Parts: sequence; structure tokens; C-alpha cells
Amino acid sequence: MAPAQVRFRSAPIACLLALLGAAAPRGDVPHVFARPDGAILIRLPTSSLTGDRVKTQLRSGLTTAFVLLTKGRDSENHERKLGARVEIRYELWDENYIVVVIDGTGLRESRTIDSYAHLVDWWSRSPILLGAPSPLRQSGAVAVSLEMVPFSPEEEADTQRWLAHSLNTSSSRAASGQGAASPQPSEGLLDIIIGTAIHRQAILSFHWDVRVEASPPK
Amino acid sequence: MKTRTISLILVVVVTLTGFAWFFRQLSFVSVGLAANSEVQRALRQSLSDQKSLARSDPSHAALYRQRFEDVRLLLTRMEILSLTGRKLTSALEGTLLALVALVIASGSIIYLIEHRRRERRLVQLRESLMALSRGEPVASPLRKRRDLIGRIGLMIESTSNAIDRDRRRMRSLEHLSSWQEAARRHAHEIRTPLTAARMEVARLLSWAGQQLPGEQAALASAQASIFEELERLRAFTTAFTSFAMLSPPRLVPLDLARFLEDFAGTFASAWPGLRLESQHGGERCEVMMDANLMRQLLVNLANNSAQACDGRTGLLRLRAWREGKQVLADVADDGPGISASVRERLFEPYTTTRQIGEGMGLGLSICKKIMLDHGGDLDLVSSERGATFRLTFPAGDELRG
Repeated sequence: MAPAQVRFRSAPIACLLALLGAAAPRGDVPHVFARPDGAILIRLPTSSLTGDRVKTQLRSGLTTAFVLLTKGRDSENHERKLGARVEIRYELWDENYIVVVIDGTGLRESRTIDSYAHLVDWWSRSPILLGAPSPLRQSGAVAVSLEMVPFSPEEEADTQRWLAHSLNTSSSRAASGQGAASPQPSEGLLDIIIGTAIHRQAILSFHWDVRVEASPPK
Repeated sequence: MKTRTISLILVVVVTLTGFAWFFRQLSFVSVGLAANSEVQRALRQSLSDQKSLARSDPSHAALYRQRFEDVRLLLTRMEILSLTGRKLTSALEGTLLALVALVIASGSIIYLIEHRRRERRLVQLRESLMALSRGEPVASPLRKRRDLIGRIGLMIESTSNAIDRDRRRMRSLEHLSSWQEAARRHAHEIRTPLTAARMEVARLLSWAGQQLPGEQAALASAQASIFEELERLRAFTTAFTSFAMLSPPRLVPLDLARFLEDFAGTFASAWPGLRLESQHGGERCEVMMDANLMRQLLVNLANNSAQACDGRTGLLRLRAWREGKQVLADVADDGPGISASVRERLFEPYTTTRQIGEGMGLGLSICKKIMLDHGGDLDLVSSERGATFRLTFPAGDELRG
């Protein structure tokens, strides 16, 4: 099996996680396997959830999305892509994790997990359905990528609105010398800049090359 | 050119670098404040406090929960801002840098275009000056723009026009002077034998009368006939003399418009069938002129107009006006005009359209000479009907400085 490839968005985090990656146990890779009913599932490795960067992100209170994408070939050697998404948000008031899984068939499942330890346990034990029946060839090679997106589209839109409003209000005040807000010619440009800059983008990603297993891993 | 371009590039680079550095300080401060970790820590502490308050005071739990949610929302925004702050700063920097670069680039392009245009215009200016030095006419294309180069171009063109005008005047003066000299010599050569011939004829007829007392009547008739022809010859030489011996003008400041008005009044009935009309707009047109010579000139022109009318009723309009540093006057009739065949040599002596013996064709040459002696000129200008002569004077106040 090919080693995991990890891409980082910033140099300090990259160094830190490289050290963690070196410390991770060998064979800590996702398992893509077929169920007897023909469905194909994936079980993600614990290490993808236990890094410091991930832990910090999960505790931020933002909705962290893990976007899963697998690429393999079907029996006719055509490339097939399968995906799923896991959204985790730490509820700061109740101090629990709200987990939403959207599997490869589009089915949405929500659950509440009361602690980080239980979350890691759930992550390592619960396979995610990628497709049913499996379009992938048995024992075929699969490229798995997992990307961590730090906030949701709703949170992104809310922050864009808030920042644009704050900057426009403050610039209007500065221009008029009073509290009244009035439209400024620069608002359009500012909105475009904010819209371009505050944009969801993966801050951490993992890549593995694995093979489709015939049965669930032990 | 090379030095200027390098300087320009250096200025642009230094300006952009300075601006980028300055804005980096500003943007890091502004975005950094929003994503400050201490602010986030304080907000987290506030969340914890609201929860503690809700536990210790359950009756107001809903209020604390609401406050908690407000702070949580703010914290969420701060978190997102910390994650995207660098990109936001870069985007702001890039945008403003691009704007400044655009402004500088536009300015530089405009400067370079203007510089190239100025260089081109300077070349044109040099060509105009060279044409002027060669004595060629200059029609400057630089006058389109009223900047310094355009104004210099206009001055060169005005100078060229003035030189051209003076050259034409000089040529006419030299031409007429040579004709005057010829006329003077002819008059002298004719007048001397004419006087001698007259005396000899008188002496001969007196002697013949003594010898032939019976032929007194026939001799008297022959004497009258010979003297009549000699008188015609004398009149001919007198015309020559009047052209040859034109006196130089005695210039005094006069209002030409008023002078024309007076002339039209004084000579109103001088030419039967020709009505004189002065169009005086009240504008003062002061020139330096000799009133007697000017009167002679106007009489000559009016004579020509009256003869051109050939028995019909005609109108002669006199009008003067000021134009820049010149005073102009038009003497225009409504007669048949002047045929194209004589226009080119109209002011040359002995050019006439009349029958032989009816005129010597010296009138317009005298008029031209009078105007040239005044520092001005006389021209035939095109008009819809009749003949229009234009008198050009330098303005009197300009001459006096």
C-alpha cells in the first residue's frame, strides 16, 4: 500500500503534522471494502481525526466538513468517482459534537456524540457508504482523498455579510464624520474582494492509494 | 530619452514598493485586530461565563443562552476571519496595488504620448523655422493647439505672412519704380524736342506769313492744326510726368472711415450716374495717410467705376473697418467687373481695357504706388458682382507704437 500523502496549507502546520504523521502507526490507512450485498464502503483512519490541527479546528465551534473523494475504475476500466461528506460541529453550549454524514447515495444521517473520545471511536468504527451496488472493480486500485474544509457555506455567507457591513459602515462614518451609513462607490469592489477572500477552501488534505478489499477489515 | 525612461521606471517601482510596504503595515493592523487571539480568548471566556451564569441563575437561563449565542456568532466570524485573514489582506493589497499601478501606468502612458507628440511638434517647429529662413511660405500645422509650441508656430506663420506681404510690396514697388523711371525719361525725351518743335513751327509760320501775305488764313489754319497735335503730345507727356513724379506721402493720423464718409459727401455729384455711398459703422479706423494722395486714389477708382458703368446708373460703396493690426477699406462698384484676362496685370502701367487714345492705363498703377508708399497695399478682391478694390493700411496706433 502506498503511504498517505498529506498536503498542508501553511508551513508551520505542515511541519507539525509531518512529525505527527511520522509518529502515526504504519498501516493507518482507510479501508475501502465491499459488503456481501454489493455496496462499497470506506472506513477512515483514526489518524485523520486525531491531529492537533484537526482537534483545534473541531473545538472552534465552526462546522468542519470532511470531504471524501475516491477515484477508481469499474469493470470496463472506466474511471468512476465516489464521494461522501461528514460535517462535524462542536456545540459550545451543550459541549457535544453534532455529526452529519451525507453518504455516497445522498442519504443524510445526523447524530450527537458527547465527547471527543467517542467521536474518534465512532470515526474509526463506522464505515461510510460510498455506493450501492459498487461500481468499482474488486481488488482494484482506489485513490482516496480527504479534505478538511473549516467552515460551512452558511457561516461563510454570514461572515462575508458581517464584514462587508462593518467595513462599509465604518468607511461611511469616516467619510461623513457622522454615524449615518450611506452607499459608497467602493462598496461593490470591497464586496468582491471580501467574497473572493472569505471563501471555503480546504486547509488540510490527506491522500491515500489503496485497493478495494473483498471483506470488511477486522 | 533613455535616461528619462529609466527615471520614470525607477519612480514607478519606488512608488509601488513604498505603497505596498505602507499598505502591508495598515492591512495587517486592520485585519489583525479583527482576528486577534486575545479578542478570541475574551470571547471564549465570555461564552464560559454565560454558561456559568445560566447554571447559577436558571431563572434567566434563556437570557444567558441568547447572549451566549450572540457571542458564539461573533466568535465564529472571528475564527473564519483568522482562517482567511492572510488571503483577505493579500486581496486588498493586490487590488489597491493594481489600482495604484493602473494610475501610475496611465499617467506614464499619457506622459510618454505627450512627450512624443511634443517631440514631433518640435520637429515641425524646426521645419517651419527652416522654411522661414529659406523665405518659403509657412502654413504651420502647430496652430491647432494653443500651447507654447502652438503659439510659437503661430508667430512663425504670422512672421512668414508679414515677410511674404513685404516681399510682394517690395516687388511691386521695384516694378513700379522702374516704370516710373522709364516714364520720367520718356517724358523728358519727348518734352524737350516738343518745346523746340513748337518754337520752330511758330518761327517758321511767322516767316512764311511775311513771305506769303496772301496766304495768311491758310497759314493760321495750319498753325492751329499743328499746335493741336502738339498739345495732345504735351498732354501725353504730362500724364507720364504725373505718374513719374508722384510725390512721397506726407503722413498724418486720420480716421479713414470718416475720410471716406467726407469723400462720398464732397464728390456726391462729381460723376453723373454714379452714386457714392459710405457705410460708416461708427468704428474709429485711424491710419497714417496723405489726404491729397488718398483723394487722388479714390478719384481714380471712381473714374474707372463711372466709365465702366458706360451710361448706366451705378453705385460705389465705400467702407472701412479695423481687422487686427490693420485697417481695411473696400471700394466696390456694381458694374460689369473686371475681365479675368486683365486681372493678373491689372496694376501694371499701361494696362487698360479702353480704346487707344482714351486712356494711358496709368490710373491703377498710380493707386497701387500710393498705397505701397503708405506702407499698405491695393488689391482686387473677388466679389459676387462688380469690382471691389481693397485698401490695406497698417493701423495708425500700431505705426505710432
